[in-house]
Amino acid sequence: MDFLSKYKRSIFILIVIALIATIAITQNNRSPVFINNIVSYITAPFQKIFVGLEDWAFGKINNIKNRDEMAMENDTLKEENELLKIKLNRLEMIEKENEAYKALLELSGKYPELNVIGAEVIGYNSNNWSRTFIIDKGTKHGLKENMVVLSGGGLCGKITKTFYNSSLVTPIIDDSVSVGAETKRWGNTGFIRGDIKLSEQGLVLMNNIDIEAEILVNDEIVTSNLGEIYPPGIVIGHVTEVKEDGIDSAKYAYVKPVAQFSNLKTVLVVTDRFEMAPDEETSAEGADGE
Amino acid sequence: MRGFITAVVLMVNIILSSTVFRHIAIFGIMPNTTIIIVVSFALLRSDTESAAIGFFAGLLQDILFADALGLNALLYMVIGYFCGKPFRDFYRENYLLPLFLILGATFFFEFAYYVTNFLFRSRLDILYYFSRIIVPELFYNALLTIPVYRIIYNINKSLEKKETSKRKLF
Repeated sequence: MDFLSKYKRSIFILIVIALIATIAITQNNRSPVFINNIVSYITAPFQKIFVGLEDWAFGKINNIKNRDEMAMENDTLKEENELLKIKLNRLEMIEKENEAYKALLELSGKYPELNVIGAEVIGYNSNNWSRTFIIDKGTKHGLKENMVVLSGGGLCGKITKTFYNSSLVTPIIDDSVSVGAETKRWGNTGFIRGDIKLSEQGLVLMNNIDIEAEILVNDEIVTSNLGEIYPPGIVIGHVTEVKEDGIDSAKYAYVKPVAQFSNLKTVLVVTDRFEMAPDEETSAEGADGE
Repeated sequence: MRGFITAVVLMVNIILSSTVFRHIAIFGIMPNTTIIIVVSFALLRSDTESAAIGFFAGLLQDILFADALGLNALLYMVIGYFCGKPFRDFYRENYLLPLFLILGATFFFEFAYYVTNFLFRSRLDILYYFSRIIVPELFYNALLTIPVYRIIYNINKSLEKKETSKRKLF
């Protein structure tokens, strides 16, 4: 203790320097797995309990609030369900046909079938600068870093950190994210960027669009095959506004994502990885299996 | 015992703030209770101890949420060290000093976070980030200072009582 108080200042400065070094070393997510796992092993179950309690409480409140509405909604949903079943049957037929054509054209490698597992959102980053959240599946369930996360039928984000029983997801509205994207109609490429300012209105930015590109409001934006970890052809959102950037002589657009971010309960994690070269046939078994 | 209780406080804090705090967010801004807890401990204990508390509080945040390990640990440790330093003999029931220290610490933390995570990526719109994130959070933290400080004060008091009674035994 005497030693500690004598050299307090120099020890403090030493730790500060050591920490700055750690920041530099772990910059690309190379933090010690063992310690990470211990922490998440303790926190994840509690987070799950709290979210469960929350759901229960809000569920009770909502139950009382709109029982009539629910009954009506139930009826309409039933009707819709019937309709969707019929449509699905048709689509299945078309898909079979499509697969036959795909085999002919050798396209199966380009738009592979996705294997997904569901996960529950159990915690949010309490930091006001970042929109990351925690899901209740981890390395135990076979998740790895850079896996793609979907929600609401569109691209939600990617996994940036995995623990034993949970993982951290960075959504596309987070300020640090950039995703290669293109318009579905003409294939004009650009980059989807998260931005704090825009995420308040539930939008993301698409920039680096060619000045002569034909991009209009309501155009559908999908992931391009430039996006390294993202499989091509996943819906991101729809254009709400197109603007021209005088300085870079390029266009940029505001895009409303299909995925929900404000009140997420569950997400889908794509368990195939797309980090390898786009030529590699990742889903030969996926396409032939059924 | 002391370390264990402090660890439990930090754990409860991070679990609560990552689950239920988004329901008490005002205009989408959540309070940063970690800073309040670190500064409160700093006022009640020595600077070495509060630097350690800050370090572990930040490390928890780093492990669960951050890309690079160490930034939060560094910032919270600095806050703990400097807030624990010159105020060893202040009157503990006084609320004005904790309030000002927490405001200062919150501002320091958020500004350092902005510089390292946003300014370095050439997000230059300082005014927007100030008015939309930092200032609301300052207000919210000021609002929560007294209740949280009260809780930490009581925890610390019961711990100290236990320790002195143990010392009398021997």
